[in-house]
Amino acid sequence: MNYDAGADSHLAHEAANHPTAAEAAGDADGALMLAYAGGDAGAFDRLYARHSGGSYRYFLRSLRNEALAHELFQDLWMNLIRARATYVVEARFATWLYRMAHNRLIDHYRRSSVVQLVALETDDDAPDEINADSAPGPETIAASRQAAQHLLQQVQALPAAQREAFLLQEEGGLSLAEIAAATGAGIETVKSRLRYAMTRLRQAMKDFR
Amino acid sequence: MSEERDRELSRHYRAASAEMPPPALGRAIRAAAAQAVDAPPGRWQRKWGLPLAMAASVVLGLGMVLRAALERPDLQPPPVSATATAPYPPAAEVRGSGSVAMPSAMPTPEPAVRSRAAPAAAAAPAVAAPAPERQSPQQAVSAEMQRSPAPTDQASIPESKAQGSADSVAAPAASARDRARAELSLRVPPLATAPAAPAPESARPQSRPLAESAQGQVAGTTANAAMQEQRAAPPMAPAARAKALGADAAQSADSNVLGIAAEAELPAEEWLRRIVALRLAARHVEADASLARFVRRHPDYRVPQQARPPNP
Repeated sequence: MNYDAGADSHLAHEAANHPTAAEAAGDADGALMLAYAGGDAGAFDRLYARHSGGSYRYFLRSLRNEALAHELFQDLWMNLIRARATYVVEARFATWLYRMAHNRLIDHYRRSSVVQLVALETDDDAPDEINADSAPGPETIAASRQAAQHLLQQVQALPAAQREAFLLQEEGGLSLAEIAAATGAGIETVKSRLRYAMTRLRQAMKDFR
Repeated sequence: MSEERDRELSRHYRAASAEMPPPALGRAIRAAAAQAVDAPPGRWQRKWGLPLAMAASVVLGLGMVLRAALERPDLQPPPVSATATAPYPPAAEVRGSGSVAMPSAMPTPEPAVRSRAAPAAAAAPAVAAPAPERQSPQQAVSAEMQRSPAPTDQASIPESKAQGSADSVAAPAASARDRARAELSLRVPPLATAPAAPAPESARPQSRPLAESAQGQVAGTTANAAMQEQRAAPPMAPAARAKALGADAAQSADSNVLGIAAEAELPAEEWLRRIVALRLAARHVEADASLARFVRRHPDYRVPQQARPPNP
């Protein structure tokens, strides 16, 4: 296993001391949501512009089905519209939004397939060994675009729980604590999921460095 | 590995991750959002909304006062004699005695309910009377008492009044009925106030109304079956019935106390049922705490009235 213990401390350090750009804008998003609840439709447009891409890709990568991603994405934003009157600033807006997204995803898994539900709810944290031979050689892939595409494939190959943690971090800009709050998991569990996800992705991408 | 490597992963990911939702979908969502906040109250609503709300409050308040008065044994009307269940007196006689006018729009009981009433109650045409303004005040009160309780008790109330000995039983019976209604509402899955259940995942959005309609019909059928079951059950003694219901609620609440972690894993509807069970057992502190956790966990669910803290 190529996992470097420094990555763990890096995650904790990042969560504690390096707020993401989304975190810096968190208060503004909450204020926009309150403004929308007060009747300002323009505030909703700004919120949508900020978070539609990330939430859409969260569903797209989790479901690997464009039509389903459209449906769940629409449900998420319609739920947000309905919940505007009861919105209370208890956490960052992104945490609230992605908690609803997570709940919608769980509902989808519960209704569609038990197997997928188990895949998401169990802590499938044991890192599978990546077969380096299956990765394309660097001589065949030179451009960074190809590396990025390869990374996307590896993200989608992650176990569901690890993939969700990774997506919430990358697309939602959530911290460890916020991912824990959005998914209902413990912080240590989230940290473990992210650690294993990073290990797998690093292994898969080592030929593209 | 180091922080740079993580940033490199993030850079690769962001380079490839640029998909956006379809513009048409975005326009539809933004239009729905604007429509949700732009719908101003109509002219009719602005003009009549407040007076109608006040009138409704007054009617509701009077109804509650009347009901409370009826349920207190010391305020019960004197036992109804045989004349109370007799056919109407001549119209001219009633008009001269100052009748209590009841709104003609007041709903009449269902025919099925009337057919279940015992002969003593069936002999009281005031329940199904099409012209309630002819009733004397006593008859009106009697009719109100027969309207409000559960069907199984409709027969027993007039009989006990005719015997003149069961007034003290009326209040416990009424409170037991209220509990029974609350318990009955718990048996009806799914909770009516939960957010609209999404359609089956394979179905497209235009098929949703059908799915929701079918779900509503199933829920209604279940509710009807539960009500039929309750009607068919042999009547218990009021004290025993209230005791059984209280014990049942307490036992149900005990079984609903879970650890916080286990509670968080429950489906939303099941969680809400457990909160309602705690409320029924009057364990409001635990119910409040559980409700707070529920709202944090499921911010998009609307909490039903049964699960909310009781009004002071």
